[in-house]
Amino acid sequence: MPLLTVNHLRASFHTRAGIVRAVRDVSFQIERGETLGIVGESGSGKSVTCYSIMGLLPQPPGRIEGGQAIFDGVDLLALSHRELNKYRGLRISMIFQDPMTSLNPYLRIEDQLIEPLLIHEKIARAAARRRALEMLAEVGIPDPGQRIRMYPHEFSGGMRQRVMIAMALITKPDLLIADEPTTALDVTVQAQILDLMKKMREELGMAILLVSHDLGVVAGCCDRVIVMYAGRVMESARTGDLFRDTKHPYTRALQKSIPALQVKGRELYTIAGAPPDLLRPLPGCPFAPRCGYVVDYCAREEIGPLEVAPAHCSACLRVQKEKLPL
Amino acid sequence: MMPAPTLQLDEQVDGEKSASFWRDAWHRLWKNKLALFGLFVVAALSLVCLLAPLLCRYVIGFSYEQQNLALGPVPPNRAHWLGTDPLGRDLLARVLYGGQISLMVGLCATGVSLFIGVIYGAVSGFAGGKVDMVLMRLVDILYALPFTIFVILLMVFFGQYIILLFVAIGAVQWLTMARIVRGQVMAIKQQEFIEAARALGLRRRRILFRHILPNLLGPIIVYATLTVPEVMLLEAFLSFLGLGVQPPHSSWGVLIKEGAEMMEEYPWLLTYPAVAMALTLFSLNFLGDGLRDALDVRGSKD
Amino acid sequence: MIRFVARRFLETIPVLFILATVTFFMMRLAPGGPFDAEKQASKEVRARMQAHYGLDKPLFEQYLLQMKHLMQGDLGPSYKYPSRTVNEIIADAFPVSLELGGESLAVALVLGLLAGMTASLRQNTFWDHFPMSLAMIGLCVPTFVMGPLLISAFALHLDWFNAAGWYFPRDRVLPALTLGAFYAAYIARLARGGLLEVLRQDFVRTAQAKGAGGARILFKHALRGGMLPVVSFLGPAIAGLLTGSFVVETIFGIPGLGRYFVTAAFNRDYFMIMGSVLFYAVFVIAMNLVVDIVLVWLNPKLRFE
Repeated sequence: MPLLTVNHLRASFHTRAGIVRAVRDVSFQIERGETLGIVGESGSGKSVTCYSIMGLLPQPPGRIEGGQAIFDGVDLLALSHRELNKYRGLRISMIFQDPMTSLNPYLRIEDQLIEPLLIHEKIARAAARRRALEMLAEVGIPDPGQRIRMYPHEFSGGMRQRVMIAMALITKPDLLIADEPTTALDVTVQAQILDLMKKMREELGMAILLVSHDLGVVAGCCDRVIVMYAGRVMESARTGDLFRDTKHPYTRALQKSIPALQVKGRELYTIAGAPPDLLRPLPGCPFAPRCGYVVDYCAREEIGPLEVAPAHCSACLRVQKEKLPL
Repeated sequence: MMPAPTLQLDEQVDGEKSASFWRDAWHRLWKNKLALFGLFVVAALSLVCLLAPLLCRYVIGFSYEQQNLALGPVPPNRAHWLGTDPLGRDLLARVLYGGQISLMVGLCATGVSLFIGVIYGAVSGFAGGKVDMVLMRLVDILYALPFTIFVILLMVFFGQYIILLFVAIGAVQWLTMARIVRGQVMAIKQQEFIEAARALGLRRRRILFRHILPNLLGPIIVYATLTVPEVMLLEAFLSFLGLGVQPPHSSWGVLIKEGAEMMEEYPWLLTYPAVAMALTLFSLNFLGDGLRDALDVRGSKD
Repeated sequence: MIRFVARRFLETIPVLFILATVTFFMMRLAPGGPFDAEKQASKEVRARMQAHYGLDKPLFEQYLLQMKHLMQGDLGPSYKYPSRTVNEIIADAFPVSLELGGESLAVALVLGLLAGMTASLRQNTFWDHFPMSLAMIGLCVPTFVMGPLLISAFALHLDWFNAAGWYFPRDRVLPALTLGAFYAAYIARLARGGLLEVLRQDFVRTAQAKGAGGARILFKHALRGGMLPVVSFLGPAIAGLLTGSFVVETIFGIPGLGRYFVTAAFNRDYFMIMGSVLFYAVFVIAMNLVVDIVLVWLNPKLRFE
C-alpha cells in the first residue's frame, strides 16, 4: 500500500475579492522510500497542496473543500489538530522555503532542534541534546558543539537550511515534505542541500515530497514527477519518462524555457500569455489560452489525468484522444 | 516590526483598474463599522461644540456663564436639559463650551507635536548616519523622562498664557511621532522600489508625491488621530491639578474635576461631562484603530 | 554588557546636569517666590528669611552654589517644612510612592497580559472583543474619574475597602487599580497586537509542522517576540505611573512623593522641586536601563549591536 495517497484534493481561499481556487483536483501517491517531485510555476497550487496535507492552511481564509490525504491508512484531512499533531513532526516532517523566517529568531538552535524530540518522545533533555548534536554533524554543520548554542541569525542561508533539515529529520519520519527548499539559496549552495537530502534519504529511507518550480532540481532528485498548473495535475510520470517522452504541452513548454538548454544568441523562449486567474477559472483546460497545440474542444471539455502510457498520466485532451506526439 | 512601504500602482491591468492604495484603504475603512461610528461621533460632537454660541442662544436659552444663584444645582429637567451646577449655570451649555476648548486644545497640541515630530523625524531619517544616531539617542533619553513634570512646572510658573498649554502638552507627545516618521523614512529609503521607480525613469517630484508621501502620510494620520485623545487626557490631568484652563473658561477636564468633587450629592455634574469626554476619546481611538487597519500601519519600534 | 551600562551612566550625567540647570533657571525666572504666601510676616522678616536661604545673592552665584550642593548629594532644606531637609522628605515619601507604583504596575501587567493573550488567541470572537472593549474603557476614563468611581462603588456602597488612607494592606487595592487601569488597557492592546503579529510569522508555522500544541506555541515561541512591544512600553509606562501617582495620592490621601512634589511646585519650594525633579529623573533613567537590558535579553538580535 502506498505511504501517502492524495485523492481529489480541493482547496481554496475565501477572500474579499472572491474565492481563489488554488487546488482544483489533485491526486497522487507516494510509496515508501520514494521521492516524488511536484513542479509548477508560482500560483500552480503546489505549496497549497503540501500545506493542506499538513493541516497548515490558515483556516480563514483558506478552506479544504474536499478530498482525502490517506497516510498509512488514516485520512489526515479528517483529523483534528490535536490528532494531527501526533503525526506532524514525528511521522511527517516539513521544511520550508525561507529558512531565515522559518526559524524562531528568539530561540537558540538547540531549543528548536530538540523540540520535536521533547514533543513526541519521552526523552530526557540531555539525551535529546546528544541526538541534536549528532544530527548537526550529519547534516554537515562544522563544530556542532559550539554552534548549537547560537541563534539563527548567526548562520548563513545554507547552514540554516541544513539546520531545518536536521530539525525535520531528527525524529526519523516516514515522509519529508520539502517546499522549495533551495529556492531562497545561492546556486552553489542549492546543489549542496540537494546532495544532503539525497544522503539523508539513503541513510534514513524516508519518502520525500519535493516541491519546486525548478525542473532541474526535480530532475536530479526525484523518482517520479508530477507537473501542476492552475491547481491541477497536468502530467505525472517517472522522471526519465517525463523528460524523454513528454506527454503534455505545458511540460514541453517548461523544458523549452530552461535558459541553459537554449541556443546562444537567439531570443529566449518564453511561454506566451499569463497564468490563469484563479478567481474566475475558465471552462476546459486551463492551459488552453497559452497552448501551442490548442484545438476547439480544449476550452470546452473538463480535463482529468488519464494513463496514456505505463505509469505515465497526462491531462491533455489531445494526447488522450489523438495520441498527439510532442 | 517595520511596516512595509508599498509601490503605488495604478496602471490598467487586463482592462481592470487595480485599486490604488488610498482607494483600497478607504474601502477597508468603510467596512469597519466601529471606525465609522467613531468618525461620525467625532464629527457630530465637533460640529455641535463648534455651534455652541448659536445653540446656546437659540436652542438652549442659557449661556455657559449665566448664573442663577437662587436656583442652585438641580438635576436634569425640562428647562435645563442636563441640570445645573451649584452656581445655577446650565450644564449643557457648559459642556458644549467646554467641548470647544477641549477639542481645540486637543487639535492644537496635536498640531504642535505633529509639527515638531514630523520635522525632527524626517530630518533624522533622511540625514542618516551620525546625525540620525545623535538625534535618535536624544529622543530615547527624552522618552524616558517624565515630561509631564515639566509641564506641571511650566504651568505652575507661567500658567496664565493658554498658548503655553498647547505648546507644553504638544511638547510631551512629539517623541512618538518623531520615531515613527524617522522609521518610515528609513524604511522607504531602503526599499528597492525607489530604485525601481528611478529605473523606470520617473521624475523625482513624481517619486516624492506618488510613492514616498503616501507611505509617510499613513502612519502620520493614524498617530495624529491617536494622539488627540492622549492630549485631551493630559489636559484633563492638568485641570485636575488646577493648572489647565483657567476660569471663566472651562474645559471638559475642569468640568469633570468639579463634578468628581461633588459626585455623591450631584452625580449629573460628573456624569455628563465624563460621558462627553469618554465618548470623544472612544470615537477617536476607534477611528485611529480603524485607520491603522485600513492603512495597514504596524508598530513603530525600530 | 558592562560597556552598555557604563555608556548609559556617562550619558546620564550631562542629562542630569542640563535638567538641573533648566529647572533652576525656570524656577527662578518665574514670577513669585517661596515666601510670597507668608503675608503675615513683615517685610523685614521676609527679607531675613530670604537672606537665610541665600536668596538675596546674585542669580548666578546661587546657581553655582546649588550645583555644588547637588554634586555633594545635598538636596537642601525645604521651605515649606523648615525643620526637614529635602533628602529626609524624599526618603520618607518615596518608598510609599514606590510601593504604589509597583503594585499598580503589577496590576497593569497581570490584567493587561491576560487580556491581551486571551484576545489574540480568540481573535475576532467574544473573548477578543470583550477584553478589548474593557481596555478601551480603561484608556478613555481619566484616573481622577476612575478613582472616585471605584471609591464610590467599592468603598462607600459596598464597604469592602476604606475610602482613603494607607494603613492596611487592603488600602492598596483601590489605588493600585485606579492607577493601573490605564496601563492595563494599554498593555492589553500592545500584547494583543504583538502576539497577533508574531503568530503570523513563518516560524510559528514551523512549530506547528513539528507537532507543537497551542500552549507550547504560545509560551515557548510567541511570547518572546510578542512581549517586545509591551516591554518597550514599560519605560514610558513607569514615567507615566510616576506622574499618575500625583492624582492618585491626592484622591486617596496617600503620603507619597507625588503629593509633596505638587505642593512644592505651588509653594515655590525651590529645593524640594529641584530635589524631586532630579530624583525622579534618576529613578526613571535607572528603570529604563533595566528595561533595555530586559529587551536585549528578549531579542537576541540586539545583542550584537
